Amino acid sequence: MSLAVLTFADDPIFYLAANLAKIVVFTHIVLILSALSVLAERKVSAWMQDRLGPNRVGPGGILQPAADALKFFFKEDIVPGHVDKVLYILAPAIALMPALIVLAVIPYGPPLTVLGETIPMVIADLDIGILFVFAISSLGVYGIVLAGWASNSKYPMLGGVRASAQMISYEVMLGLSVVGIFMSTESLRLTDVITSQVDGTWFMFSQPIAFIIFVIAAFAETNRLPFDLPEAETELVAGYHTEYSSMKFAMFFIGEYTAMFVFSALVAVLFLGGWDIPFMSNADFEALGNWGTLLGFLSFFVKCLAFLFFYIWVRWTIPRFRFDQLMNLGWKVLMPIALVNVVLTGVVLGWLGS
Amino acid sequence: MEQLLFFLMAGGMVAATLATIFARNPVYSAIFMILSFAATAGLFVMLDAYLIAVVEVLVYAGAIMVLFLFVIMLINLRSDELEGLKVNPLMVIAAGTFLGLMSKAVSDLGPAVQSRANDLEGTPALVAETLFTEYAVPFEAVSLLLLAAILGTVVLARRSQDA
Repeated sequence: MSLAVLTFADDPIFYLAANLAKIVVFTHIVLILSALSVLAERKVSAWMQDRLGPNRVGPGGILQPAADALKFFFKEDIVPGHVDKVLYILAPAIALMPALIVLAVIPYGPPLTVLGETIPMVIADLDIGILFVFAISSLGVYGIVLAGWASNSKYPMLGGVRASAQMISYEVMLGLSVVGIFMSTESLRLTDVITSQVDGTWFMFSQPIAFIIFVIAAFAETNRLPFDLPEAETELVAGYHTEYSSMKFAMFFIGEYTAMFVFSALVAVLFLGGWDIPFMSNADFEALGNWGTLLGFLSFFVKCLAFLFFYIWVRWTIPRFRFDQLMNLGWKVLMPIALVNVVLTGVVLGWLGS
Repeated sequence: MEQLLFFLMAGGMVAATLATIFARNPVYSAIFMILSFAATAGLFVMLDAYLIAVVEVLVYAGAIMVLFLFVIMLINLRSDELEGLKVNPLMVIAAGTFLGLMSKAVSDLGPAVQSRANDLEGTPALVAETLFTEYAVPFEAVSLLLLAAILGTVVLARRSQDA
């Protein structure tokens, strides 16, 4: 039995060191970015409402996330008496875990060459890339559902029930919307999707319908406004995390912002060309060597940050949907459009191919 | 290393499945079932059948079990309501028949499956090719069956609403 997962390269120590370095570096970049995006959320909302926002800690308020974290650590960690203890404690971890696992298959840049060896800038370049992403991120709903159930209280329960219905529905649109992309790249591997965009057009332009559906579904999957019904504060107090305090509450927050980063990265990879820079081809990136990697890396993160800003921008602009509107939009509007998009892509590809 | 992983996965699968059956609380049953699906997916990864492994997680753990939990939470059974379940002789017969048939099927397949495990490359392209060429007719038949099931549930749901 050959176990491809465990097959090491010619030099196992180098391979191990490179992979460990990638895991440590990428996870930390993303976690720091998600901490900073909490600050960005407060700053952007302040600017949009003509306020200053947090500006007391560090220059311009840049150290605010550290102050927030300290505060979370020193808060009393309350476990209410009426909760199901095991699941109540596990739920925040279950909410955070899938977002972190998905980071493993996101390609952050073109391959890097160190000591004559080529290291791909993705922790695991799976040939089922996108399916892995959907499979793992579909587990994210358990954190919310279990938090709602384990809290054993009415508002979290309603939030949990809403979350399960919402995330199941929008996962379908998420999956259907990207079918067209994989029909034209003929591969599920995320690096192949990017290289085909580097030499061709970005899928944002060749698959505009898929792009819009994916973005809407991404908002619903991360429970962000206008689809933040599981925690709608005007109706459900705070939804599924009403009964949570201290670091457990913070873990839901980190999970939410990491999931936002993951979906921004997915939008960048699938629709915005990943590490592509307009007017550069794969050959150009290779010719530039490690400088090409650096450029690609920067370009990828610029796209991610731009989409994160879009997340925040939308949150402070658009009011919340009602639950029946959310379901109708998903099943009666987006789903038929996504299906038509798949058929259209097939027809166009068949017509071009013959 | 491989053996260790295998026993970890297989042991986890059996333990989680047993826990599913013996858990008193339906929510815990559902969670142990998810764990058992995850372990099964791990076994598929060890066979290099990545697609099947991912589909296992995506469909069973990610979608079907969420609906299970959804229903359990909506009904919100209390543990005292569960005590009323009586063992019916029909249940024992049904379970016994199923067990017998399954063990017969597995023992018939046994060597064949083991000898083919090495060439089972679960790449999406390969699976798609066999599905749409060699098994196109059964594949479409199954989709029709599923469509009929969907329509059936809609009809049933509508009827109870009208009444």
